[in-house]
Amino acid sequence: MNNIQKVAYRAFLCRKLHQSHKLFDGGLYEPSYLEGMKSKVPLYDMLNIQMRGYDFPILESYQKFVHSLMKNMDINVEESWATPHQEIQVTTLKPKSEVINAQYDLKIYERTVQITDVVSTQLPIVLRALEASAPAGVTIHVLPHEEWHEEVRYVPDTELKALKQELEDMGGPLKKK
Amino acid sequence: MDPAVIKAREDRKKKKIEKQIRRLEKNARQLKPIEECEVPLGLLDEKKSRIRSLPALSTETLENRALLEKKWATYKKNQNLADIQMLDRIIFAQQKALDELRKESEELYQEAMQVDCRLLPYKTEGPLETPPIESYESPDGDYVDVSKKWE
Repeated sequence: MNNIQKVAYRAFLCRKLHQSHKLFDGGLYEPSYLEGMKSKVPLYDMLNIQMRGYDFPILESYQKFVHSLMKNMDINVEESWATPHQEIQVTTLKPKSEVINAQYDLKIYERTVQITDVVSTQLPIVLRALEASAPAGVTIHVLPHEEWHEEVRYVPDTELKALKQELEDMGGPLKKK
Repeated sequence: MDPAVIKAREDRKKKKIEKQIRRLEKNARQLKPIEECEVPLGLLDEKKSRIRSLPALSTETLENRALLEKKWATYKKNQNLADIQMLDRIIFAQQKALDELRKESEELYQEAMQVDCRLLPYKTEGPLETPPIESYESPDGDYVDVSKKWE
């Protein structure tokens, strides 16, 4: 009789452990604060706010403004960087001829602010704030972060590329893990 | 013997190349230099001729300038505060609406909280100084991208 009682008691405990989302959040072997730290609201992943303009003092002070705006809204600003400018040569031609009327060299400067963990309800407010505060002559793009955004910032290493190409030609790397 | 020897030679070459790749990858990659953030070298050379030696300012002007800076700081602070308060009102109104929606129906609330993919990618342009000119004939021309290529 005692044995049966012991077994029944153990079975009862076992069932309780498996049923528990109140006793052990996330399981017996995970600390409960890990579940607690996860946000209960859906979040956006990393977003890039890219600002482009022809006038770079305005662009720089606007970047400062956007950074402080994000801080005030308690949005985590991961990083904020500049990308080299694009140079565009604009030529206007005289009407009905190919004679060049004027030629301009324009530079489009670019700044980016990267934000993470935006609450899904906060994003529309952020977009409206950006739209309302955009200075004259500045174009703003908000896009999810992609790898090539990061790659574009670095100078490509020709030596590394050449070596990798050689390795490919020789027939793939040695250790194929 | 021959194929094994050839294979061994090839393996050794590959190892060498892989070692070099690993060494290069360890060195941190260089960021592209940003021309607008660097001081043009011509200015650095002319530095001596450009520095001015001015007479010292009187205490009156210094005081006036300090007071002006204080006034400007208060003005900007009030502007910034008004912006933050407006954002607070917006967020508060949104939260109130979401709470009411939750009381109404949990399903709709959950749907409202979801991530909306139609918002991104988002593009906006700043306001322009002048309105568009009516019936403007734009001249012919080209746009040529001559930016510095890094390869």
